[in-house]
Amino acid sequence: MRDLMDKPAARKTDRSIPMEVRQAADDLIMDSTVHLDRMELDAWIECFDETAEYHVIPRENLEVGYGAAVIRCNSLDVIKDRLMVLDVSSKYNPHWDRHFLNGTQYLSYEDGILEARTNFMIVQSSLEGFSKLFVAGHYEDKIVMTDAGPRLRSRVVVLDTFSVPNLIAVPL
Amino acid sequence: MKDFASVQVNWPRKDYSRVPYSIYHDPEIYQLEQEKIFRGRCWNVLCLEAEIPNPGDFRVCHVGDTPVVVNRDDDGELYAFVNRCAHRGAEIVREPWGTAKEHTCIYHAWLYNRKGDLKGVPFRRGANGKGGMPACFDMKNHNLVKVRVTSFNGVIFGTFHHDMEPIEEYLGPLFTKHVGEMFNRPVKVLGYQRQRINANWKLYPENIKDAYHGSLLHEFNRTFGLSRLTQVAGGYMDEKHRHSILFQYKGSDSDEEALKAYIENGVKKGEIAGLNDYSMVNIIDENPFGMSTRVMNVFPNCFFHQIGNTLAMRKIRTLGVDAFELTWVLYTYEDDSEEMVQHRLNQANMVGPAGLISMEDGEALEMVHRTTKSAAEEEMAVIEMGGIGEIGDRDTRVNEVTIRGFWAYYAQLMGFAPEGAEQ
Ligand code: FES
Ligand SMILES: [Fe+2]
Repeated sequence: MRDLMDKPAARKTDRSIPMEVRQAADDLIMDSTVHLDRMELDAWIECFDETAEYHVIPRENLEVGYGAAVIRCNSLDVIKDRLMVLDVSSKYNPHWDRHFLNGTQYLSYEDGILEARTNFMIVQSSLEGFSKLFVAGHYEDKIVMTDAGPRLRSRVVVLDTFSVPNLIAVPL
Repeated sequence: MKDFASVQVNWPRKDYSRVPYSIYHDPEIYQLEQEKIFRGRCWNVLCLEAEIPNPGDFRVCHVGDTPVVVNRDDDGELYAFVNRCAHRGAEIVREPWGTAKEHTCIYHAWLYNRKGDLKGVPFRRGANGKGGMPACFDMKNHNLVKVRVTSFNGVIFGTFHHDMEPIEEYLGPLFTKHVGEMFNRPVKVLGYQRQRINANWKLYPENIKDAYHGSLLHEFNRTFGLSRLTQVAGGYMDEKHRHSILFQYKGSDSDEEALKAYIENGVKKGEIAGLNDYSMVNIIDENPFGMSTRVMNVFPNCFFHQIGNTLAMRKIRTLGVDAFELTWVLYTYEDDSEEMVQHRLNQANMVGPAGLISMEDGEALEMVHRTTKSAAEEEMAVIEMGGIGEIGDRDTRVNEVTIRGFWAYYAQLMGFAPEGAEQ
């Protein structure tokens, strides 16, 4: 059977990464998702560095080696454009999101860039109070340590739930 | 076979300008559709040849509800069979894609070749002189159900009717021209976008044939002039009115005149917003007919789009009366420059479940499905934009006649078109 597990082989936590660096990154990752849950999109974008990228990629495309994403933001400008469109023109199911993260795995720390990996689930609740698992996947983050604190240099959202329930409007 | 004589639909108008809401919810209609539409006299799209380029490559596709394995044999020929074991009905191929010499059912290890012919039955002669199949059991009588396949410029279609007309005839000249042009040279798959929509499948072809909603629901279209009711545009069909193409010409109206027209028509949110990065809405000229967008439905399950420079074949798979899966197969041409590939990948932001001009469709369909469920028998959709009566082409997007074309052909295939109805 084809190997459906992560490729390349699972990497281990780099335990030499200083605790304070990990702690700062933990806070950033947590804050970024709480901003999304609260629809504080201006605060969410503040989590990103000026040269940031943000992508949501269906896991099946990664498994087959295809390049297409469902959201592809190659620059901070494009991330901002998506939020602007969401604000002025997108229409979607009224809902509340709640992210559930497990512990982050820190894989490397070189030249001020921290590589981190975090599983997530998002539970979506209707305004009538009915909840369901919306999507599951993991974040592959590259986090840069700046004077102002840690910022996301890139976030790749790997989407296990690539047969998306209805639609994705709010970033994951 | 189940007797569907009882399945009746009340069409109060012979031009299909009224559609009873119950048609989206009736489980008997849904069952009949599987037989008369998907397994009926239609060509259903399966996948692209580029998805299974090498001998042994396979993909599990769906014709309505029915899982169909499409695979390529050593001689390069394409074959397809229903993914249901001829022994006791187990699913044979259990991964959605891959490469295989042959296919073995895990339940009792019956073995099939890529054509779907039964090639091995373990212990057919029994063991130690006992058991086994009766002498009259002939493997030749137990092949898998075969689906006839054909490739049109690399797009693979399948049918359960082995005497269907050739695909070019099914498409007709207009769609042979446009689908042919979109696949006029070898393509490379860029990937998939998928979504599961809790709505009856028929709402999707209706949506694709609905020129009217394009800039009212999708404000991004209106704001950036990709598609507006004020543009030179149209909705055309084949002679049977089952396939449709909606198209328009970006730049054939001005922002000012559009803004004025939308405001005059009570659409208040007409402001023109700006982007930081305009490359997403920048269209590199490549359509030989000059259309900035064209979206097609090839009846019943197949769709194609060229929206700016994003290209895709879309297909639907039914998941019961209340849901369907929509798959977008994004592609590029093999001879595209790396720059063009990147441009197409960027423009894919506009389409799919998170698409800036497509996310709203999922929501619109779910809303219609949800609220029509409780409608009384006499409650109906009103489809009069673009005129009533005779079904035909229109040179405008203020038009829903293409939707009536869908119902006309659908009702004929289902065998419940009213006497003297428009065709
Ligand atoms: S059901 Fe497939 S071998 Fe028995
Ligand atoms: Fe739409």
